[in-house]
Amino acid sequence: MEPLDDQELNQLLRKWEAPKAPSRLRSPLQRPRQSPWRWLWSGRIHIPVPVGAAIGVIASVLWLQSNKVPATDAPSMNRPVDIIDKAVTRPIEHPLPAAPAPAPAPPLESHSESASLSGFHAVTQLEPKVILVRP
Amino acid sequence: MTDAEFQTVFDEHKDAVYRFAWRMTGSAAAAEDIAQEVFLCLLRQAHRYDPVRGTLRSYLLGITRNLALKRWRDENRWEELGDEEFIPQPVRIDNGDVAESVGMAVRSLPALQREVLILAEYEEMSLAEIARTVDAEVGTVKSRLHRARENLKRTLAPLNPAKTENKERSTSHGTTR
Repeated sequence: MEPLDDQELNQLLRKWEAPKAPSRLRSPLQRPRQSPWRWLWSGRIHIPVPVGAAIGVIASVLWLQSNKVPATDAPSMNRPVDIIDKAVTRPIEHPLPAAPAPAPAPPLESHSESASLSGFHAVTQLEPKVILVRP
Repeated sequence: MTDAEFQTVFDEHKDAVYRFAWRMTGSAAAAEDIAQEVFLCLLRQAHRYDPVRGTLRSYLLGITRNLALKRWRDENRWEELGDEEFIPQPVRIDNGDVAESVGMAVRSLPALQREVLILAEYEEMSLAEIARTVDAEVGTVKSRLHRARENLKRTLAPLNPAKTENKERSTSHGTTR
């Protein structure tokens, strides 16, 4: 199709008229000032995508860390606990389940070498008594 | 700027600002938002206007242009703003509304060609004023305007009244014979 010439184009361009500004378009001076408190409900902030992503990652890492229970802090009550005897200055080893029956212990060392804390209840009220021994 | 001065400026330029925003965006709601923002900018930063650099009208239309392009970028995030690659397609005149078809053709131009054409043809600004408004060299503005007009000559060719009449006449002669 043959293109228009300059005059024809100008004639056509003049036919596209824009409307006037609507009456509701008011000067900023005439608009009621918005309360700063109202901004808290209706205000908007723009956050760049990298900043938003970084905030999301940091928040999820903090959430994961706060929900993580450290395994070593609270020992299970059913787990055998090593007891260090005052007379024996090294940790006493647990007997292996499949090990052969141990030889009878001498009478002085007849107390058990390992103990389970299951069923152990801490003392609710400690009442120490001091006994004076006069020379 | 006193309140009275600001009100005078608003009354004097609101139509030009709204009109330009409306032609750039094709939306009355968007044009209204942009016009509000333009005058808020002026109210808050009136000191940024330097009369030596141009008229207040071209300053306001410059702000309008920036806001319209910002809106365009937000809506067309993955499209280039370049004005080089454009293949003009002839407009369709199905509904017979010539003004609407012209509007569609102008709005289909690349943004940088569109703004220059609107400022030159509808706001009747000089090339130097347009160059200040769109922050470009006069030569660049001239070439963008030339390209915009050439594109529209092809796009609007089906709307040519003289040629349409001739065509209709020849068709009617053909049928009567």
